[in-house]
Amino acid sequence: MTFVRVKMEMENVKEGEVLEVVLKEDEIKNVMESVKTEGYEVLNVERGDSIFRLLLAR
Amino acid sequence: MKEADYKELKKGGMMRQAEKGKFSVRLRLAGGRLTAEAMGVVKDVADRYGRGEIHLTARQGIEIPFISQDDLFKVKSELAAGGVEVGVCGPTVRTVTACQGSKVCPLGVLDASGLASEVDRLFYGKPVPTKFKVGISGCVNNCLKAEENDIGIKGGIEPCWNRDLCTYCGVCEAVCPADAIRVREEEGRVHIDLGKCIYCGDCIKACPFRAMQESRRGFFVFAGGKFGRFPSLGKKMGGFFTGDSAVISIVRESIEFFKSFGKPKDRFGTTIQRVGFKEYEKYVLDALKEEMGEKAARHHR
Repeated sequence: MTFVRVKMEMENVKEGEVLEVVLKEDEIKNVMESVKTEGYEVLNVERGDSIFRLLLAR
Repeated sequence: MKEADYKELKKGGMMRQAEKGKFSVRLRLAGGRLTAEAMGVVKDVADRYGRGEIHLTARQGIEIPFISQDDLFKVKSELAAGGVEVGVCGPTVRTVTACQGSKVCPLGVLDASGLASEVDRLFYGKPVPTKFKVGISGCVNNCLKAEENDIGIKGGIEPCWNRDLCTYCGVCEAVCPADAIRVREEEGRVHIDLGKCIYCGDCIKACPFRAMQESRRGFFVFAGGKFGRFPSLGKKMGGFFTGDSAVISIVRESIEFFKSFGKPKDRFGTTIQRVGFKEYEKYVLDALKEEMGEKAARHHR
C-alpha cells in the first residue's frame, strides 16, 4: 500500500524534480523492491531512528 | 480377492476403499503437474468408471475413487492409452512434490517443477525399505515444506557484498529477517554472517544501489523428515549446495543409504538416527566429492 502512495506521488514529479519519501523501517523492503522494479532512480537513502528517508527521481 | 492380489494392487496404486469391492485409483504425477489433456482423460475415466469425482491428495496427487474391482485393469489401460500412469503405494519412492519453481513463480530460485520431473523419472516407484518421500521447494519460503519429507530440497540465494557500490545506507541490515547483516560504515565494511543467513535474497532485492549481489544460487537439503503418527522434522544435511544435478545425486545416494542400512518398517529418519547423522552425511558428501570433485561439493556449515 505504501508503494502505491509513492507511485501516485511520483506521477506528479516532473523532469528534474526529486521526491522525498519518509518510511518506517518495516516498510522499506517492499517499497525498495517496487522502486527498483518501477525503474525509479534512487538518489539517496538515509537511515534515521527506525525510519528511512529516500530521495527518488523518475 | 486373494491377499497377494491385493498387495499387487496396492503396490500399483489401487487403494482398497471402505466400501467393499471399490477402489481408489492413484495416479502418477510429479510436482502436482498434469496437462489439461490428461485432465480430460482422468475426467473421462472418473465419469465412466467412478462417480464422476476425483480426490486431490495431501501430496499433490490425484486419486479416482469408487472404481469397481472388476474394472481396475480396464481403467489402468484406458488411463495409459491417454498417457496417464497409475501410481504406487507401499515401500516405494513416492510422489515427488514441488512448487511451480522459477519457471512460473517470481520468487523461484530453483526450477522445482523440472527437478521433480527428473527425480520422478529416475526414482519413482523404486523399492525401498519403507515409503520414501521427496519434496522440492523452489525458495526459502518453503511452500512445499521441505522438512516434512524424507528428503526435502529448499532453494536459496547466497548474498555477497560489493564495497565499491555501497553507500552504507543500512537497508540490507533493516530488511534481513535473520539479523545476519551488520553495516559498519566506520570500518568501511558490511558483514554478512552466513551462519545466520537464511539465503532468502531479500537484501539483494532491497539494496537500492546493487551493492548486495547474488554470489551463488543453490539449495539446502533436509533429511529424515516425516509426518504421520509421530511427526519429526528433517535435519539440514551438509550446507549450501549448488548445481541442479547435485539434487539428483543427493536423492540417489540417500536412497542407496536407505537401502543399505534401512530395516523393514524403518522410515528414513529412523535409519539415519540408528546409523548416525554424521555417518549419513559423510556417505552422501563422499559420493558427491567423488562424482563432482571437491570444489562442487564444497558447502558451508
